[in-house]
Order: sequence, then C-alpha cells, then structure tokens
Amino acid sequence: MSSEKTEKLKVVGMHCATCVNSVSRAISKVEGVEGVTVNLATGFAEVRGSFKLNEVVEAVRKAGYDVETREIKLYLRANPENAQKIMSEIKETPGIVSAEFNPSSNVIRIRINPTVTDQKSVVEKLKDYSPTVVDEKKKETSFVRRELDSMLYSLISGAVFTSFVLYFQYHGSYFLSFLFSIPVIAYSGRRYYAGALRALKNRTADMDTLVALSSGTAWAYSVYNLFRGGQVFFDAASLLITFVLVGKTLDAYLRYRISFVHIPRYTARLESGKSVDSDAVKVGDKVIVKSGEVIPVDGVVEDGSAEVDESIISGESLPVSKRAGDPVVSGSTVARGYLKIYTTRTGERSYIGQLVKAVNEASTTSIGLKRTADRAAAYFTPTIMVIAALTFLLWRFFVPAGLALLFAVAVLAAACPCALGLATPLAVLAEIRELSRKGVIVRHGSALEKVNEVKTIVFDKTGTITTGDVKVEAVRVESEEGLQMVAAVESLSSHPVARAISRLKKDELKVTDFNEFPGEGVMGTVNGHTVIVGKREFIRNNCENVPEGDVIGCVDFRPVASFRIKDEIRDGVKEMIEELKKGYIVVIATGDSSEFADEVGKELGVKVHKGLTPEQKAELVKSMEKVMFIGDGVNDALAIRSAFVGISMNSGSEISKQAGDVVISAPTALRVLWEGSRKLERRIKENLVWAFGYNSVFIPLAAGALYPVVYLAPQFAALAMSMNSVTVTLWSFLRP
Amino acid sequence: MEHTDPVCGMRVGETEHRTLYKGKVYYFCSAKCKEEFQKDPEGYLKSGPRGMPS
Repeated sequence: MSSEKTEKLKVVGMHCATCVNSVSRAISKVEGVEGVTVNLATGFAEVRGSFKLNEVVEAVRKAGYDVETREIKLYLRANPENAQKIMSEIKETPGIVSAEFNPSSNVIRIRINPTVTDQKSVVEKLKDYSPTVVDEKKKETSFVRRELDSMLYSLISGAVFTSFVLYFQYHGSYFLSFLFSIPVIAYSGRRYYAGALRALKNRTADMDTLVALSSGTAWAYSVYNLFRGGQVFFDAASLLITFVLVGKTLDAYLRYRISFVHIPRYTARLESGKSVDSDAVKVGDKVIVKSGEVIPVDGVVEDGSAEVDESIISGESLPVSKRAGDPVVSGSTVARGYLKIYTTRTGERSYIGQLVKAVNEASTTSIGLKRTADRAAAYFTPTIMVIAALTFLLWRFFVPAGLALLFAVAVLAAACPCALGLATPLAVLAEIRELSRKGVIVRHGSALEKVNEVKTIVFDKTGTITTGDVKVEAVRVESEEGLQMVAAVESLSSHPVARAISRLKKDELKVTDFNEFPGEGVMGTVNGHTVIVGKREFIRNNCENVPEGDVIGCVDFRPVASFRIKDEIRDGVKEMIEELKKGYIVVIATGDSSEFADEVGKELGVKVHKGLTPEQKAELVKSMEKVMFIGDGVNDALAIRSAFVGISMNSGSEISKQAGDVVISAPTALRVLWEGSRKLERRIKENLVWAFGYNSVFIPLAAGALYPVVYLAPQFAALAMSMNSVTVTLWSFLRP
Repeated sequence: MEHTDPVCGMRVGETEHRTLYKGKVYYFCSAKCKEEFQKDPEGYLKSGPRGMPS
C-alpha cells in the first residue's frame, strides 16, 4: 500500500458544476482516497490519501472524463528478473500513473501525471538502470540491435582469446594463459561485472551477479594460485564467460527477431506499369493488384472486381467479393480477379502498419501468475549464493579446496534466474502474436488472463450482433417532397440508420442549421422548412400526430414519413450465443429502441436493454459483475472502458483509436480469444515448470550431488544455463 | 452562443448534451441534467431551474 500523499491531476472535459460533482464522487470512491477537491475553473483535482494513482485515473475515465497524462518510453539495462524491483520502485514514485516493463525488449513504458513529475525526474529515478529515452528518432529496435551487436563482439573476442587461454593452460604455460584470460574477463565479461556492481548498488542480486561471482571467483583464485603455486582454472573462468555469451547472444538475437514485428514490405504495381516499394506509393496513386497478389496499400476499388481474402481483419479465410467503391485493406490477398485501387493510406498509417504497431506496443506485464514467478526470481539469486557457499563448505571436508571451489562456482554458473523472469512475458508475447494472425488484436496482455474470470457478457447490437448494414423500409410516406427533405437532412449524419435513410435521396437539397442530438435524432432547415428526423420518443416531443414506426421524419412539426429498421444477424452469432448462454449471463444493450431490437432478442433468446444512451450502457455494464462488453470501438467507448474486459469490433480503420483491450472482427472471434487465453495459461505454466525443473536438476548436479559419476564443470554449467534461456524463448514461440 | 441549462440553471455553451423539445433546442451541462429534463420537460420549462440533480 502506498503512503499518505496529495496529488494534483489535470482533469479534461469538465465544463460544469455537475461535472465537478461526478468527478469528485468518482474519485472519492477509490480505495484509500481520504479527500478530494475539484476546481472547475482550473480543471485541477487535488486528491489526498494513500491511494493508487492509476485507480484514480481509471475512476475519472470511467466517469466519462479524462486525465492529462504523458507517456515516456525508456530503454533500460536490466535483467528479466529485475522486473519486479523496477516496477515496485517506479510505482512508489509520485506522479506515476502506470508502468509496464517488457523484459523481452528491456523497454519500460511509463505514464506520468505531468503536473507532478516529468521525464527528467523519471530518468533520474531509474538512473541505476542507465535509462535512455526511446522516441521517434531513437526507436527501441535500434537499442536492442546495438545491444545485440555489442554482445556479438564480446562473444567473438571472447572465443578467440579463450582458445589461446586453453592452448597455453593445457601446455602448462600458466602465465600466458593468465595474460590471455584478462581480455576475456575485462572486455567480454564486462557487462556482467558492470551489471553485478549495479545490482549491488541497488542492494539486489541477479544473473549478472551469479556470472560475475562464478567467473570472478575462479579467476581470482587462479591468480592467487599462479603466484602461490597451485591449481589454476583460467580455462574454466574464460570458457564460462564465453559459453554464457554463446547462449545469451543467441537468446538476444531470437528475442530481437521475435519481439519486433516489422511492417511487411510489399511491391506495388502502379498504373503506369512501374513496380515500387509499398512505402513509396502516395495517397491518390492507383495500384493494380492481380490474382494471388497481396494488396499493398489501403484504398478504395476504382475498377475491376475480385474475391479478396481478408483474413487479416476477420480471421475468416472465405473470400469477400469486392467491386468498384468497396474499401480494401493492405495485407489482404486477391484470391481471384483484378483490382485497380485508389490509394488512401500507406506505410505506418495503413491497416497493416497499425496492426503491427498495436502488436508491438501490446503490454505483456501485470499478469497474476507472473507476480508469483517474479517474487520467486527475486529470492532466487540470494538462495543460490547461499547454496554455493554451503557447497564449498561441505566439499571442503572431502576434497581439495580447488575442487570444492569449482563445485561452488558451478552452482553459481548453473543457476538460471532469467528463465523464471522470462517465462510469463514471453508466453504472453507469443500468444499475442499468434492471436494477431487470427484476426484478434490484443492490446493489453492482462486482458487475456481476465477473460477467464468473466461472468457476464454484454453485446452491443448494431454492428456487433448484426451486420450493421441497416436497411430501412418506408412504411408511410405522406409526401415525396417531404421524404426528400428528410433524406437530405439525414445525409449529414453518420449514424447507420441515417445513412440508410439518406440513400432514399434523389434531389440535391441544401440543408442549413443542421443540429444532431446523439442517440435521439437530427434537425435541419431545408428551403425554409424545419425538418426533424429521429426516434419515436424524440419525435413525440416535437411533432403532432406521431404515426407508427421506428424512425419518423417531420417537416414543420408534421410527420411526413415513417420507417421501420431492419438489420441482419451476423452468421454464426446465434450458435455462439447458444454456447455462451451455458456458462455466462448474456445480454444485449442497444441504443436502438425499435421493434427490431426486440426481435433480435427473441431470436437469440437473450434479454435486450433497448433505447440506451451511451451513458446508460456504461451504467448497465457497471451494475453487473465482471462484465465483458463487446461493441463498436468508437460509439461504445464509454461502456468498453467501464467493462472488466472491453472488446471493440474492428472496423478495419483506426486500430489505435478504438477503446478496447482487445479488438476483434466478429463476435465469433471470441472463441479464438477464449482458446488463446486457455493456451496462454498452459504456456505460462509449462515455461515455469521448465524453468524450475531445469534449476532443480542442474543445481544439484553442479553442486556435485552425483560426483564422481557425473561431474558438471563450471564452464558446462554456464553453457547449460545460457542455453536454458534459449530453450524458454524457443519453446514459447515454436510451441504448436 | 451561451444557453441556460433548464435543469440546473448554469450558463452553458453548445455542448454535446442537447435535446430538442417542441422544436426548440436545449443545452445541458451534463448527461445527468439532460436525463432529468427528459423525465419532466414541462415541469422544468414552467417552474424554471431547480438546481443540480443529486
């Protein structure tokens, strides 16, 4: 629990006294908050108590407002097992809203409250881990790449000098062997000594400590014996460093390759016949795509027709037919046909670019199981040091000091705390990657774990349960002229029903004084006539003699047309809801108040809450237990944020602007999500069992439990240790 | 343009919290005020603002 403090936040979106009430109320409900003062004029909220800042920010957001925050990305020099310590240190600092450390790339993403702290203070706070700011110019890949290069140089020089060390040692030239071991220890092994020193300063111990201690002890003891006369182990000390580097470099390379997905580069054939890199295509360029080719850009079909495999969005490999006017996204494949595409987005802004970015930025931390592993990792190293000391003391009774020391050194070298630290984040990373290939974009790794605790599932209707391709049926038209005015006013709104009504437009009429009432209807003036279109209740407040119908249009306060709304239930949704009903409470929440909403409820056999405003949807979600809300990422943002797990439907456009923890293409993809979540749990467990299993086999072996039948020399213990990290990485990603 | 929230009496701009009643647009300071108004529009229009809904 954090200690008593006062923190000032900048709340965005408060424009009246009621807002002050709502914000104060929301904040005061947060655990640990003792007092809160909200100032409408300045927009600042002062919070007192021993609260968690991220909970306060969450509460404000759920109340429908926002808090000004800033994100900082830092590249740290740290080992996976330091994650827990780094996180607890940073979370204690005032002004930190949230922090996510990805031990796989060594990048920490910190959200700060800019009124309390700034980048400089955060960098200062983490100075023990030599932080470097990651930004547009210095991308995280470049840091990891540089680290990888430096490891490779260390490894190569280590290998060369170690071979000399071995040659001279086995030919009895101990002094030359000592000389050649110096660069191995001082240059190739420097990262471990520097790391051990850093850990010591932080009063902790990690893998670096173990490597430094094991190689350092063997080397120092050999130097001592070189002058005093006695056995020397320059070979073991040098080989130990080299072997650790072999595994660690391989591991770093694999993680570099796996951690950063790159935006695929496609070749685009321009109208002129010239082939260029997809990055070089400009908005407005026309691109030709033929059978079997990947669509390199986002755009609209200008000419031609084709069957397109859009599994990149939908996870569904059944081709969709595309004709002139249809949108297409980069990364999908033309199965049959020919398309001429007018380019609207390319590169990072394109769909595939956004997908890659979302996957790269998905957080992998704060998973429950992991916390246990992290804690274990923190105690692990000190325990190993004690075991090593005991090993030495015990063997001292039976064998010469030199051999007893080698046993102790082997224990230090064999222990592998990193596999413990990496077990969970790597499994999460692997699962996020795999799901992204199936059309499920996970943005917060923790959502994968929470999916299993869900009790209630709330679906939005339009566009989620149904295709969103709303059709209207005019049931009564009093005058065609009036209908045209209604269609003209509706054409200015982007609501699906309005779009459907606007398709009835034949004349180009000029609309002035347009006004939209979210969730209710619209109003405008056409040729001096007041036109109002909207839901029945809305119209009832404004017009006389309101007829039957879901949506009604009035001209000069008299109904001129009424419509019924029809929409189709998506394929497979009925079966899936049947399945879900067996284990969960399933309901539909919709803003639509038409009879069609009831029909959908009846057809699927679930309760429908209809005619809800966005706020009421959010209220409904908050009133139920552990809710998963699935809805439109933009219109249902409030409800999605209020939910335990928020899922937004992918519209194939702006991924980053969607509110969900997870973005899916169709409700049927929920199955994939659940499967993924179960698989993740298995993967984490396997990784942890493996990590613990390795240590419990190799540490006793190294300690000489089976000596003299099996003897594990320190250098081979080190090789086993470093290859174990490689195994965990490979297993995470290659596991079927 | 400034308007008066018919529920709490505050001066508000053209906020997203708005509705149309008998052909006239009303702006509110919050969703809460709008909800209150829709429960009893006639009452609010006749007797004037009653202060912040709790």
